[in-house]
Amino acid sequence: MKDQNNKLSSFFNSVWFRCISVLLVLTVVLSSTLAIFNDVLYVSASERTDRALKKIYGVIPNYTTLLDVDSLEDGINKTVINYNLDADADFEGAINKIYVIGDQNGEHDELFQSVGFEGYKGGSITLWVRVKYLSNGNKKIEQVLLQEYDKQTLMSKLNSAFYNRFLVDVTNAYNDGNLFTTASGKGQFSNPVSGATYSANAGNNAVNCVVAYVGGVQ
Amino acid sequence: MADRLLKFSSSPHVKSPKTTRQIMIHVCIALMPAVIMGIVLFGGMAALILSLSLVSAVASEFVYLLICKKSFRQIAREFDFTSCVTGLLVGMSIGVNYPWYAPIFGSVFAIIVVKMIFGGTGKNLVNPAVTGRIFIFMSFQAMVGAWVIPNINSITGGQINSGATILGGLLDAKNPTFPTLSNWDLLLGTGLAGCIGETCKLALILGGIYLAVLGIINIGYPVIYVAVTGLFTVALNGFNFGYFLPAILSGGLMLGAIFMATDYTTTPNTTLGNIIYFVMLGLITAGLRQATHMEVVSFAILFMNLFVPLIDKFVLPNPFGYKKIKKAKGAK
Amino acid sequence: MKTNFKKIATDGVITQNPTLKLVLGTCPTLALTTMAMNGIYMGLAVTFVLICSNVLISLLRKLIPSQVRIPAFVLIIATFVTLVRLLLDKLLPDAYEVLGLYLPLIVVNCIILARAESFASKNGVIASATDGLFMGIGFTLALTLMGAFREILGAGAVFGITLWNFQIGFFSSSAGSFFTYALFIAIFSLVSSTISKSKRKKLSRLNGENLTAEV
Repeated sequence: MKDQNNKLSSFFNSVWFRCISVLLVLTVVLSSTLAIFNDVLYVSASERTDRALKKIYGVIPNYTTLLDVDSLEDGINKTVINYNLDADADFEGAINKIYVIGDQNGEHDELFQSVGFEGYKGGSITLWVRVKYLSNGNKKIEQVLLQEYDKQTLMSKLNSAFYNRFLVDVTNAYNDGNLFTTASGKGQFSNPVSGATYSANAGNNAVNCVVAYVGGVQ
Repeated sequence: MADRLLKFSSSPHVKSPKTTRQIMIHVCIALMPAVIMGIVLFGGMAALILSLSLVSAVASEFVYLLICKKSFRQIAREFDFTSCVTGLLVGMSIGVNYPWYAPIFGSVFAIIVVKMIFGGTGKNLVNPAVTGRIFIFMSFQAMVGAWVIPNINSITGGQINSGATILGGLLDAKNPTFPTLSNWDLLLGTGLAGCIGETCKLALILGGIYLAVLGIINIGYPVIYVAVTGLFTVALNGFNFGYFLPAILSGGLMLGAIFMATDYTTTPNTTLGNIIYFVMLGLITAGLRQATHMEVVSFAILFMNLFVPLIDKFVLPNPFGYKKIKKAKGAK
Repeated sequence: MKTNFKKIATDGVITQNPTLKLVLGTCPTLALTTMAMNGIYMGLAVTFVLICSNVLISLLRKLIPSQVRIPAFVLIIATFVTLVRLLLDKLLPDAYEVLGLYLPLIVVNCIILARAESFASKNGVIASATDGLFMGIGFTLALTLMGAFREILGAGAVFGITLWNFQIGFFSSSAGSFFTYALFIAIFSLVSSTISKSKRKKLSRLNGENLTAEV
């Protein structure tokens, strides 16, 4: 009996058993704690929208939702609008959310969340694009903010020059065939970024979806 | 303290009438034609920039040595004109539309950080003028914008390029524009937008010949550098020989090749090492110019300066008196 | 054994400053000192992780066998870094955006692993917590000072408040970050060696006086 006890205790006290058991216990305990905290501190999609709105407008304005893919309410359009602007097989981007701030018949803002594909390593960039609908019928991109990105490594190269060139009047841009491109050169639709061409391509695609929407492709 | 009358040193004992001070004065004289042409082409502002960078280079060396507790008379007695050369080169390698404080910052950085902190003359790791130029370029380029056209227009009736330089137009990937200025204009610097000292290549070549005749620099090495750059640019552009002359006559290549890449401290010790160094410089300059469409001579020189200890480690000089033992013919 | 809290405090902030004396964790230092505010955010995150991981490792120091101590430490540190990410995303989204990629990089920040290995696994809980706190304070101070220096010279602003319109672009670049780091280490060594030299002179003078008094 004592021999068996000794064997058992020596087994439980052996180095490799203690090591493995400590590591296993630590992993289980810590990951369950993290799972609890993840639920507690979860940031929902609506909260992210509120944060973006606060960043753009300072306060959260009254808005009506035309399209919101993450919405949990009934009666709200949830179908994402896909865009295939270049007639090859892949979709270049999609519009996930459209919010209307102000009276849709007068001068108002429309806030788009659009995602552009064909980035570096097949990743994507998600942008908030705020379009101002003026009373004379013109539509101008007022502001472009970065929401998030996927697999892009050189996001720091997309500097303010890159975002500021989107702030133009786009009323007839789609009909005239002017889309934001990665080709360099002079002009507002060309690319001021060097070295991050794929990421710039994804960013351009995201804004081009909005340009296409504004030009009537819905 | 009076100079010691008894000097200790180890062999070999070689006496030479050449001192560092004399060599540096000759280099300053060789730079004079380019300085004068720069002032003629760009006006009084160029003179101001050159004098500011010269004065601040010399002053920073004096201030540093004073802080190191040497007496003023001792510094003046030991002054070799290396900081004059550095100051002039820094002033010559920036455009005339830079703010007046830019050459001051560049010279101070070049002398104190690159030369004095590492131990003074002969102990710098990289060329101080090149680093000063890079400092000014990184700090103040954003507020300066385009290059400025000089006062004298083109003598062969070419069109004046403003904004992007000849080099920028040549290397533009989508539509390479052959320079609208003829090669004569590129040589003389008339009508060419660029840095103060770089535009008149003829003056720089004159200075280089002066130094070569006096034996201060080996004229083969800058020739190797310039030729390899031109040939590699030709090769990279589909073996179109029309690229050769514009490529070697535009940008800061002449100034860098003759005056900056041949600095004594930052070149290898052996002939073979030097050949490797200058060929690599040419390849890197041409390659980087093609890839980045920017003026890369200073960056290429900085990069290769860091390789010099490696080259010196592997390319060993022959010991004094070494003769290769010839194998006897028909040896068993 | 009574823990000398004063020594722990001065060690963390001055004599063994992790950034300027031990030169640990240089990657976030070089990347995040472009603005002073970044320094404060990063210092906050690192201090939190330091204190929590030091406390937990000190509590478990008798249970973790020494053969697996590094994996165990990394597990614990990674948990707290994930926790900090969740907290920052919820409570301080500005900090989360600014820190970006460098937040998960705290897991392999050498400061935390070094303090866990050399201090927390050998001392009690309160001492480890204090050590974590003061090391974090030292790190934050170094980063904030360097960030302020680079921001004033490179962007003409400090803590986001524009001071003047003069900028030297060199200091906002990566070359400037290396240069600033070297400059601060040099100034720090100069100051600390001057202080220790004067302390030694004072000490030797006192000893000398004692001897002559006895005669």
